[in-house]
This record gives sequence, C-alpha cells and structure tokens, in this order.
Amino acid sequence: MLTVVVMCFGLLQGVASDQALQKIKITLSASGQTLEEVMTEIENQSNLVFFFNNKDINLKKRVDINVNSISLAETLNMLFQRDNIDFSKIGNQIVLKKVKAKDTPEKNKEEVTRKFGLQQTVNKKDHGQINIRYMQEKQISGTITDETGEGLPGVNIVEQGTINGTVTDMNGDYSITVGENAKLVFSSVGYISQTLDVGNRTVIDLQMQEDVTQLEELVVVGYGVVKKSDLTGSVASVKPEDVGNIAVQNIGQMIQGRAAGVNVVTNNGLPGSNVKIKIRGTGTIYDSDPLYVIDGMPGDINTISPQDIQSIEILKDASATAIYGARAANGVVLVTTKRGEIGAPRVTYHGYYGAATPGNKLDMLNSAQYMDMIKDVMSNTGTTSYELPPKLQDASYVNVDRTDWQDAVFRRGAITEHHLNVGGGTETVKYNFSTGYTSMDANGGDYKYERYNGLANAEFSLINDRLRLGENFAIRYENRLGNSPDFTSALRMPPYAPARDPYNVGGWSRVTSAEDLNDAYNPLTEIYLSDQDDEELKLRAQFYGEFDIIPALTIRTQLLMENWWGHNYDFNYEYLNGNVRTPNGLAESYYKGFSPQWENYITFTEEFGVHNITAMVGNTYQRGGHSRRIEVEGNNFESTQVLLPTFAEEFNIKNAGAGISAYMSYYGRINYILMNKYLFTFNYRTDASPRFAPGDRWGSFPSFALGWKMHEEAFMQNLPSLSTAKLRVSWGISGNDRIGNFRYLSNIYTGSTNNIVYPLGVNNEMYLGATINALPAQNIRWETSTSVNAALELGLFEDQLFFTAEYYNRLTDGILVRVPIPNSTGIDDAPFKNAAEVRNSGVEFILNYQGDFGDISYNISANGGFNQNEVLSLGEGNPIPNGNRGGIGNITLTDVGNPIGAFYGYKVDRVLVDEADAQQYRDTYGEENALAGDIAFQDISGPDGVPDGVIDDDDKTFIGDPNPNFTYGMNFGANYKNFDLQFALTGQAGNQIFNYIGVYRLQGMRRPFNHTTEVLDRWREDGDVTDMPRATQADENLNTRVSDRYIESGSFMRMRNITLGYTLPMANEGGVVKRLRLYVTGENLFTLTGYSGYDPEISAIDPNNDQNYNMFQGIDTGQFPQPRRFFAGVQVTF
Amino acid sequence: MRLNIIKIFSLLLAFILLGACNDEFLELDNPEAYDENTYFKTQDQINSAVIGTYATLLHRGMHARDWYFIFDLMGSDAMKNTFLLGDDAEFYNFSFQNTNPRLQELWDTNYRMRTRAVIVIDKVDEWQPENIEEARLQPIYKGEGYFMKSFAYFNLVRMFGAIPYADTWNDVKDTDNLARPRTEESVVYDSIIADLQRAVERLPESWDDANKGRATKYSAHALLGKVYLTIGEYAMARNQFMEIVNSGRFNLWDGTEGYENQFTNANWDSPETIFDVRHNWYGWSAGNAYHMFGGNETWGGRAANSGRAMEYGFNDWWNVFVSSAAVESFDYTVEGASYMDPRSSLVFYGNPSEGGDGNWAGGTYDYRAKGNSWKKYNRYETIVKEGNPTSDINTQLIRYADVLLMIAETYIFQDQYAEALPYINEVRRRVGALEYTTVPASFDEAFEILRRERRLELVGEQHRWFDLKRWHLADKSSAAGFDMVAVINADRALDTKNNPGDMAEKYIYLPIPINELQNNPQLDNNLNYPNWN
Repeated sequence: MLTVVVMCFGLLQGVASDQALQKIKITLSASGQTLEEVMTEIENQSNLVFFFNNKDINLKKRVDINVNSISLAETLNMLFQRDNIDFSKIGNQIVLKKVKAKDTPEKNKEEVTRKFGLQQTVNKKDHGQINIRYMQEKQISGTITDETGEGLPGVNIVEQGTINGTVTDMNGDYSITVGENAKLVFSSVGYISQTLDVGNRTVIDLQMQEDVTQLEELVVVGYGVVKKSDLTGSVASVKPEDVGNIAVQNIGQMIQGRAAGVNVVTNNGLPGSNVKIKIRGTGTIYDSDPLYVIDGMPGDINTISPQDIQSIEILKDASATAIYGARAANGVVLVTTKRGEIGAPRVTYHGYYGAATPGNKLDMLNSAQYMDMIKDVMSNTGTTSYELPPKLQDASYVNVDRTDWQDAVFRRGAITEHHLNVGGGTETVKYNFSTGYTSMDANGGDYKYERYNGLANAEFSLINDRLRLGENFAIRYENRLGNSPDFTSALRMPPYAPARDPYNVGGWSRVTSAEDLNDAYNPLTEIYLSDQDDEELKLRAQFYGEFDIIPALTIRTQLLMENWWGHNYDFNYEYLNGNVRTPNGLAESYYKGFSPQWENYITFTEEFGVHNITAMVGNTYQRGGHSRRIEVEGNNFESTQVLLPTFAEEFNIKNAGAGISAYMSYYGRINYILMNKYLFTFNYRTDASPRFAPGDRWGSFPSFALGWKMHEEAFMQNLPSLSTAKLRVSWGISGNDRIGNFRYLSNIYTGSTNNIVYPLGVNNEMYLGATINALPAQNIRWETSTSVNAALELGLFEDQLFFTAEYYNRLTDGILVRVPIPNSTGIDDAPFKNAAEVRNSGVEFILNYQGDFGDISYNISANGGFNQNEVLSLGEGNPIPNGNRGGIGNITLTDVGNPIGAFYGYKVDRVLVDEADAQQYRDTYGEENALAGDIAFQDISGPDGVPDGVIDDDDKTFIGDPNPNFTYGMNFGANYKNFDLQFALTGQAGNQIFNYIGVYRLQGMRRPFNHTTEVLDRWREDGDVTDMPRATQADENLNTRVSDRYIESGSFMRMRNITLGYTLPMANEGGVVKRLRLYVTGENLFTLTGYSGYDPEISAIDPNNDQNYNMFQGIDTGQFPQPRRFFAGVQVTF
Repeated sequence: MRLNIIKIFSLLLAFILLGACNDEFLELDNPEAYDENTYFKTQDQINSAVIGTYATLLHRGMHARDWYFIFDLMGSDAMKNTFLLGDDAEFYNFSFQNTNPRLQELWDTNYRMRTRAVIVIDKVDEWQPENIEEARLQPIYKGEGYFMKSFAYFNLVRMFGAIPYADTWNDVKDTDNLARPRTEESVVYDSIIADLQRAVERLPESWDDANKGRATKYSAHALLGKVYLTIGEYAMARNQFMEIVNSGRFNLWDGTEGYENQFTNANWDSPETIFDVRHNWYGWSAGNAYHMFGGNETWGGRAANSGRAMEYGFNDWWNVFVSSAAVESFDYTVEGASYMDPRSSLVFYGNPSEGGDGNWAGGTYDYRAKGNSWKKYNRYETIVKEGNPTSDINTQLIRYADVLLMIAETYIFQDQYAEALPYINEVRRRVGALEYTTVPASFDEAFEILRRERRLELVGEQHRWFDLKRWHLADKSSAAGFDMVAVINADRALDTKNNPGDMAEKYIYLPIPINELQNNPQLDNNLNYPNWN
C-alpha cells in the first residue's frame, strides 16, 4: 500500500477517467475492518494504488462493506462519498481528493412513475445488496409502524445530509449506523416525512402519520380534494403524464379518448378551434357544455395552456357535480395548473416543430365529365333544346383540366410551439412561472393561429404554515390571421377554370351564370383578397388566502377577476367573384369584459377513532360579464394605404352590445368515512340566478353517495390477489339555467343590430323601429338533472390490473326549451318553458393494465361508454324541427321516443328505371312530377298510421341519430431502456352523419356545379339500374329532399397519436442538463371509417352556437377536416 | 375542545351565510334592451313602433324579394328562366307544397306585420302627449296601426282564405290562446273594414316631406275600396275610390315618360302613388345588399333595398322573362283593328316587332339571345349592370291607375259599362293608347276590356293573381264560368321554353304552411281542399 503524503498533487490533476473505474469489479466482504485494510484489498484486486493526502483520509476508521462484483467506482463512492472525497484514476493511481460538500443524495435519485401517475422518489442505493456502515459510530434500530400499529415495510431511513440509509423490512424493523449528532429522516410514500434527532438513543420506534395529500393519488373535487380510494362519485382524472407529455392544441384533446363516457368533438380542423365536450350524452336540448372550473373557480378553460396543466378532473355524476349545483347539470371539468415544489429552481423547456398536412381528397369530375354532366343538368330542365353559352360550346377550352381546386386550397402548414417553465420553492414560498408561444398554420388557405401564454403562481406560508396566501395569474394572447378556404366553393368550381385571371378585378378568376352557367365563388379570391386579424387578450387573476384557525379548521377566501379584450379586423379588397361585385371594405369590432367572483369556504377535518369527518360550507358571489362591444364598418376606400374606417367613403357604427350577469350561491358538504371502509358523502347547494323572475330564482341541489371498500373487510383478506374491491352508489340533482338573461321580461326588440329600418321622406331618410318580438318566459325555473350512478372497482395484483364499471341514469327534467308557438302569433321568439324531459343512461368501463416484459414496461388502458339518449317528453309542445339547411329545409326533429336532434326524412325506395316504372309510381302514389331516373320514395305511413298510397309528410320517419351509442379510447404506453412509445386510439360507433355537402352539393345535380365522380353512375336512359338519380335542375320530384340518401355511418376509429421518445442518458449526472428527451409524433395517421367525406369527426353546422348545437349536430356542411400532423420535439430540464 | 370547534365553526357559518349580500345583489338592469313596461312612453318610442310595422314590408316573403317572384310567377306575368331554382321555381311550376319556405315567409311576415300593428294600437294610448303637436300625432299613429293591421289581414285572407285571427295585442300575447282556430273569411273581412274605417278617421290627408311614404287617409280609402271590391260590395268600393278621385291630390303621371318613371327611382314623389314600399340603399357600411335573403333585422344590417332589378335583370341574375302570355297580350284588337299597345316597349326589352324595346344603355338589345326581359322596375336605360341587388325603386302597392281601373270594375260588375269606359280611357290616354269609343255591349265584352287593361297597365305589379282570384270567386251571375285555373293554364300553354305543366285547382288557395300546421293544433286544414287549406 502506497501511503505517500503528497502535499501538492495539482500536477497530477488532469483527465479523470471514470470509465476505467467502472470496468474494474470489486468483491469485498469487510466487517469492522479498518479503512486501511479495505483499501489494501482494493489495491490487490485492482492492481492500482491509492494516492492521497493523509489529512483527508482517516485510515483507522472502521468500516463494514459488502460488495459483490461491483464497479470500483461504485465501491469507492460508498467508501468515501460521505467524507466528501472525490476520486479519479490517473495512470495506475487512484487519486483521492477532498472536495467541498455538496448535495450528494440528489444525484443518486431518479424519478420513477408508478401506478396512477403517482410520483415518488426512491433511492437507488436502497435495493439491498449494497450496504455500508461506519463502525466507529453508533447503531440505531427500531420498528416503524403505521397508524394502526402494524409494522410498516419499505420506509426509507436516511441520515440527514448523507447517503447513508436503509429500508425497513417486512416487519417494519430496521437498523442503521450513524455518525455523531445525526438526524434521521423517515419517509414513506403516503406518510408524512419525519426528521428526528438521534441524540443518545439507540432504539427509535416511530408511528408514521398518513399524509392525506400523499397517501395515494388525490383527486380534485369541488372545493377540496379526496383520496382516490375514498371517492364516492364518478370522477375521471386525466394527467399530462397519461398523454405522454406530448403536444396538444387544447385541453379537449387531452381528454379525448381518455375518460370513459366523455365525448370530445373538435369543431373543425383549423388550428385554435374549440372543442365540444359532452359528458354522458346530450343532457339537454340547448347548451349542454360542462361547467369549466380552473384552480377552483369557474372560467374560460382556453385561458390556460395545456402545457401548464397538472391535472384535469371530470365530474360525471350528480354526487360529484351537485356541489356546483345550478350550473353543473352537464358535468364539470376541473383544471388544476402546475404548482412549484420545494427545491432548487427547475427549468423545463419543451418545444416542437412540424407540419400539418391535408388529409384525403375527394374524387371530383374532370373537365370532360363535368361538361357532360352540365349538358344533362341543363337538358333535364324542361328545356328541350337548350343551347349552351358560347364559352361552353368551345370544347377545346372547356375540356381542359386547368385547376385542381382541392390542391389549390389545401397546403402543408408549419406548426411549432415553445414552452418554458421555472418552478421551485422553499418552506415559505413556492412558485411556478411559465411562458409559451404557439404558432400553427392551417393546412389550407393562409390561415394561421398564434398564441402566447403566461402563467405565474406563488404561495406564501406564514405563521408556521398556518396562513397561506397565494395567487394564480394567467394571461393568454391569441391571434387568428388570414383565411381558411371555403372548400365547398372550391369543390363547385369548374375544373376548366384557371385559378387566376389578370383581367378580373382583384386578379383571381371567376365564373358566372351567364358565361359558365356556374356561379360558384372562386375560394382563392376571399383567401388572398382579404386580410383578417382577430386578436384576444385574456387575463385571469386569482388571489386566495387560507388560514388554519385550528389544525382541523381551515377557512379559505378566494377572489377571481377575469378580464378580456378583443379586436376583430377584416379588410377585403375590391373584387368580382361569381356574379357578385364586392367593394373594398373594413369591418372592425372591439369588445371587453370584466367578471369578478368571490368565494369563501371553511373546511373541517377531524378523526374521532374510527370516524373520519370532513365538512365544508361556503358561499359564492359573482357579478360577472360586465361586457361591452362595438362594431364599425367602412366601405369604398379611395386608397388602401390608410385603413381606418374614417378614411372610407362610407362608415358606420354597425352594432353595439353590452352584457351583465350575476350568481349567488351557498353550499356545503359532509364526507364521513367509517373504519376506512364505509364512505358517505352528502352535498347540498343552493343557487340564485337572475335569469329567472324574482321569486323563481333559488334552486336547491342535494346529493348523496355511499361507498364500500370491500377489500378492507376481513372476509376479503383470503383473496390476496384482489387488491381493490369497491362499490359506490350515488344519487343527486344538479341544475341548468343557460337561457340567456332577462327572458322573463317582455323585451323591446330593435333588430339584432338595432336595424329595424324603413326609409321615409323625400330624402329617403332612415328611420329606426322597435317592437316586441318575444313573449316573456313566465314561471320558469331551473332545469334539473337527476342522476343515479352505481360503480364497481376491482383491482388485482396490487392494482396492476384495474377495472371499473359504472352504470348511470340521468333524467333531465323541466328542460328549458322554446316550445314552438304558432307562427300566426307573429312572434318570432317562442318563450322558454320548462317543457322537455330527456334521459341519458348507459354503462362505462375502464380497464388498466401495467406490466413488464423483460426490460419493457408497458401500460394499456381502454375505456368505453355506452349511452342511450331519449326524449321522454316535450310537455305540451310539439316536436321541434331544426337543422335547417338551404335547399332542403329542416334535417332534424326532436321528438318523444327519439334522441335529441335525430335526422328525420323520407326513405328511398329506388331510382325509377324507366318510363313504365315511373308511370306505375305516379299512378300508385300520385307523385305527378316523378319521371324515369327520379327517386321513388317509400310510402311508410299515412294520417292513420298506415301506408295510405300517398307520399307526403306522413312518410317522413327517423332515419338517423347523430348521438354515438358508444365512444371509446385506447391508450398504450411502453418503455424500453431509454425509449418510450405511446399511442392513442379514439373512436365512436352507432351514430350517423347527414352528409349534406356530399349529397346535396356534390351529388345533387340541381345546379351546374362540379360534383364528385359518384354522379358518373347517374341514371341517363331507360333501363339504367342505379341508385344515383338523373341530373335535373328543376328537381320537381325533389330527389334532393331530406332522405336516408344522405345518411352514412358515423362510426370511426382514429389513430389519434403515435409518439416515440428517446431520453438521452446523462453522462454527467451533476451537469447542467438534468433530462433531455427527444420525440417524434404523428397525429391522425389513419382513420378507419366508412364515411365518404373528408372527416367523420363532424361537429355541427355552426359549432359555436351553443343554443343550436344539439339539434344541428352531425350534419356535414363542409367543416374543415382535421389535418394529419407530424412533428418532432425536445423536452429539456435544467 | 370539541365544543370550541363547534363554536368557531358556527361563527364562521354565520359569517358565510349572512355575511355579504342579499337578493338585491341579483337585481340587474338589462344593459341592452328596454322592456314593455318601460318603453312606449314618448313620441319617439311610439313612432319607432310604427316604423317597426312598416319595416315588415321589407321582410322575406314581402317586398325585399319574394312577393314579386311569387305573384308574378303564379299570375303568369313572369316566366321562369333557367337560373330560377328551388323554392322560387316551385311557384312557377305549381309544384310547391306547404313546406315551401317562401310560402312560410309570406305567412310569417304578414302575421309579424299584424302583431307589430296591434302593439302600436295598444301602446299608443299609454303615451301621454306633452304638447299640441304630440296630441295631434297620437291618433294618427293609431290610424297607421289600424291601416297596417288591415293590410296584413287583407293579404292573408286573400291568399289563405279563413285564417287564425287575433284582434288586439292582449289577444295575441294571451299565452293560453296562442293557437287560434281559423276565422271565417267574412268575419275577417268585417273586421278589416271596421279597422280601415278607423284608419280613415285618423290618418292625415298627407304627410310632410320628412315623412312621405307613410299611409294617408287615401291609402286607407284605396285599401278599403279594394276590400269592398273583393267581397263584391261595388257601390261601397266606389265610394271609397271616389274619395281619392275627388280629393284632387292624385293624378296619373303624364305621358309615357310618366308611366316609365313610375317604375324608376324617380317614383319617390310621384303624384300617382297612393301607397308604396319605400326602398333605399344606404351603402355597405349600413347594410348588406343581400339582406333580402333572410337578413332583415339579423345579419343584413340596415338595408331597405330591393332585389328585383338584379333578380329580373337580363344582364344580371336574369331569373325570369316576361311571360309569353303577357308579351302576346300587348298585341290585341281595338274596335276591330289589330293594335300594339304603346306600353309594351315600356314594359319589356325584346323584339321591336313584337312590341319590345330594342335598345338599352348597353346598345342594341339582342332579343334573339335574350328573349323578352323585364324593363319595368329595371334600370338598364341608365346603367348596364346592377352588379349587386341594390335597387332603390319603390314598389308600387296602390297607385292611381289601379284605383281608376277599380272604379271601372265597380261599374262593370254593376253592368254600367258606359260609366266604366272613361276611367279605362283615362288610363290609356296617359300612355297614348287608343281610347275605346264604343260602349261595350255586354258584360263579357266590358269584362274583357277591363281584364286586358288591368293586365297591360299593371303587369309585373303582382295584381293579376289577386284579380283573377277575385273574379273567380265573384258572386256575379254574368261572370259565371270565369275560371282562373283555365286562364292561367292557357297562359302557361304559351310558354314553349319551359313547357310547364298545368296548375292544379287547389292552388287557388295557398296551402297553410307546415310550421303553422305543426304548431297550431286548432287548425282545420280541410276547409277548401283536403289536407291543403
């Protein structure tokens, strides 16, 4: 053994080769030997010699080390790290060197994600085969127990400030050797960590206290949190980890396919578009959106960047929602933003870059086929010798394909996002700041979406953590630029038309009915001759204070201020398109709003023996929506240099508006747990809404729930593989008041934009009018939704396999609906009544499995929800027709015994083969206008309910349902070494799509527009047997009437997302970069569907119109399809 | 300890429940609209209610677009061109059902007009006039309410026969009786007459320059006369018409130029107009030129323009021609000699040898390619293209020539042919048409002259359908055998371009629209034709 004292070994510093130290394996078994003896043994095994300063190394220290074929580096680490000795190999020497103390335990830790996304920290060193003790120090032993006195295995015991530690055994026993004045830290997941001074004790027994915030996954519910195992209501939880931390455009996409019974439909494929979330079916006839709550207070969910979300909880049954009472009938989505955790600042960057590409294309007619069809369309109008306009007679011009209009409007768009987060904290303050930038080009037109996000939250702990003050501040600036293409127009353009025409005003081509018989709009004109810029700034400032009056009693007060400002700008240059000339013009609007809310609640938590009680009472006041809006317009600018409305020849204030709302609520909840087995929850809330007349304003919303953790029962203990068995049932009422304000008054109507006008006088002066256009809603009250829920949860093999099944029945009664009144009242707006009743019932299941296969760990989860929607009553009202579409009238009918917004029309029998067939059809049914090639419709019924030999309204029937019977999702995640892979599938089944664009627009052959190649099969001459009728402009037989010809299956399964990630092994664990993950993602790579249109994920005609959504849904009028997206990203943590 | 907890808890509970607010917190004032109880208190507000009533004349189903299509096509004044499609074409084809949206709008808009009118009648009394001028206006506004209420009901009863009838605002808004059964035609006519008499009492003889275009006493006389004529009260009708003639306030706008100008935007101050729909285009910043496609009072902004010039114009949308039957009617026999009526070239562009005008602002009219296209109510004498449907030509509802011919009709239906002739000749004289000198020998002869004159003078003004129906239903033994269905089908046979089928008899009554049937369980839909009307 070389024991040379070298006072100056600076010369020897240089390249430190840890590699060599890793390769050499050491096997040692020392018990009470001196360090010197051990080091000598190491020198023998490694053929190396130690080189060190004697001041730094106490060779007489007795050590206890037991390693078996462990690397030299690891061995040295165990021997010396506690003394802050660093080592390196130089030549054949192991150089030992004293370094400054540092926070060594940190670098031996790694984070692993366990079941339910729970994060816990385990120490790699605690795996049993390595142990090091310092014999000259004292030995401590003891038993750690849980609250029931049972020995608690797996408790980490670490000497504070060192890596010295151990773990309790199966009986909760432990033994550890520590230095002088040591402090021991006892920690275990789910229990409160405790730090104890060893003093002169040699036996330390300890009872660990359960940590309600850590024992297991906590689920955020209204005004509090509940342990997942103690939940009595139906709550779905989604965490970013479940989504693979990948890029999502909005919060809806995080939920999509990940919560049973929650159907998420994106409004359209444009970036920045919103989603419709339906929880357990269509609960009401008008607005059936859930209530969104962010960090405990209702608000606009889109204010928060998806990257800043810690968790999303979806409250599904009334037991969970009733605490939000009046506004919760359609479920509640709770969003919790990320918080800082105690520790040094942790900086995370996430960015990606990629492309959105167009999906499918439709097969359109080429020029020759198009011209062939035009001739048929025109000659079947009754005009026997129709002469085409001169332009169309020039075959050398019109038989040439000049423009693929789909290619002209679709494009590849760039998408990128950058997000930076800094979080950390101390005992007294925790903070989290983040900022993000998102830019996404649509895959069509020149539309672009940009978003800037900021989030700042901080919490201060005062008076020994009895008082907590905090704020959550979110800001979002959004910008929508440019135009998305109207591809309905694109599809109608003649393929012979060029895209550009330098001789036309504006430079883009046009076709006209006079020259082309086709007056479709060139879609490029409006894209490129209009500048659109819509921006919105949203601020959300939340302040709260929480005070523990006594440990069991906490009062919280929270204040929220939501502010928004917006500006829409739309300038169009002068152009001629189709038959229409549009002058240049500018439309601008400005709006702002302010909505404050104030809430107070007190929570009482206490245990008395086997009784565990949590009680909460609170109130809320909201005086919201102080909003104002103004729209201005200017037209006919002389020059387009200065584009202010006042520079226009004509300018005007087009519209103005204002709004206000209020709420006042009191609520309370009792959670009672008996013997950790029997769970009981009672909620009560009462709300007042000014939407009803004084006297009808208050509504009461109670709920009860019971849970039984059967696995805690003694008789279940002999089923060791069954780790969880829980039953829960609930009943409750929640409400809905979304009818708009002041409906109980007979309001004066002055037109939608104060535009009841009539010109009078010799100068045609404009006079403004006023009238009454609505009857007041009298004696209306809250709509109530009563739901029952029953669920069974089963977990096997330590919950490795987890299964949940739920049944629910939700009855929405007193649905606020405008019961149609006779048009002969001359009143356009029917009053709201509590008229209808709707039932949604169904079952849901969730299945999770996590397993290992060699080095591969994986997780599979599947969820599905069956739902049946049925209108049980419309009160005294008649069926509600809706879904009106130009050319064919109402598409949907909401009627008793059928789902909301079901498709209603005729059934096709056949296409009349020849004149004899047509004659027979005419004679049988009196359908005088039917000719060969027209559609024969079925005589289904008559005034007496039986076929009556007449094809009329009585033959209309329910032909489809836009509500899916089954929605499902499947998610798969796997890790292999440093690789991770996720994919997500979502789908729905049992619903139908009304393909308005595909059939009326693209197969209708009523107008000389381009059509899909399906029309090549059209009936042309006697004897043609086909299902495509003749081309007829007059369509006197109404072949295009609402019928099952439009109905297609809406079932689809979509590969939503595939992500492959690789986490770089960090060469130097103490380096600046703590974690670096690279990934590639593909979205919407394929969709299995029988639907013939662009995209089976159909929203509604006007998805932003909440009032009409449910009766307009599932009708494909040319919503912009979802893009296919590919991107690559990087996640770095510093 | 536990007691303390309960004490503290109770105190906090009290704080939360009683602490902050009471129900007054929820008392909000609507920042966007007045309500029935706070409005209708001033002259401006009452005037707005009257304006709101007139505004319905511009709604869908009425004169921003649909009325001219529907009744020109059904009355065979206009003939479908290829570009006329869908819901509008069904009126030419007589293939429309009770589901036709244009038909629905006819119904809805006239009832909307009625309701706004009865609101005026009801609310005008709540207003306390503050000065003599306001006191003068109070009954006048009420008179306008009565006039517009009658106008709406007269349209409805002529189109649909017996109709649901509500008399007052309190009746209309009675939530227990929103669905009303059909009221017999005669009862509806009686109440129209009573209301028009109230209007006559209250309306002024004329309006000042700023208010020209509102209903006058003479508008009410003319309408009342027309109502009497329709129910066969010829003497009563004539009394009303004579009030207009004797007032000396109206005359035919002189010469062919006068006739032409009556259908240009010079017609806002015509001496001939008794009641019209005022149109004006205030520009894109105020409104949308396409408001006639359902944008009234919604997305259309503040717009009062007419789509007609664009819809009918041969160099614009060119949805219709002048019907072959109308064209042929200009060439007829007067007192034994073949005669081409001078109004033909004022009414349509076409082959000059068939009476059409062969020139327009764009040069020579290519009648071989273009057929016979509308000149009346179009602007192609001064512009070559509309470009947008922004016509500001007022729509004539009742004009002096119509009144003169209705006077003639009262005489003819009372077999006083000699008395009728001067009124017909007065109308002909204005355009320089040959005057009739021989007193017709029989009712048939006089009736034929009258029918022809109304067709030629009023072509394209949506009178013919109602004329034919009036005559078809007239209780006049000597007119027996007049069959509007046969007349219309004879007209249609002349259309070799579309080869349209026949009109079925049931179309004499328009079908009650589907929405009304569905929402009004009180309706009997089998009064005139089973499952139709």
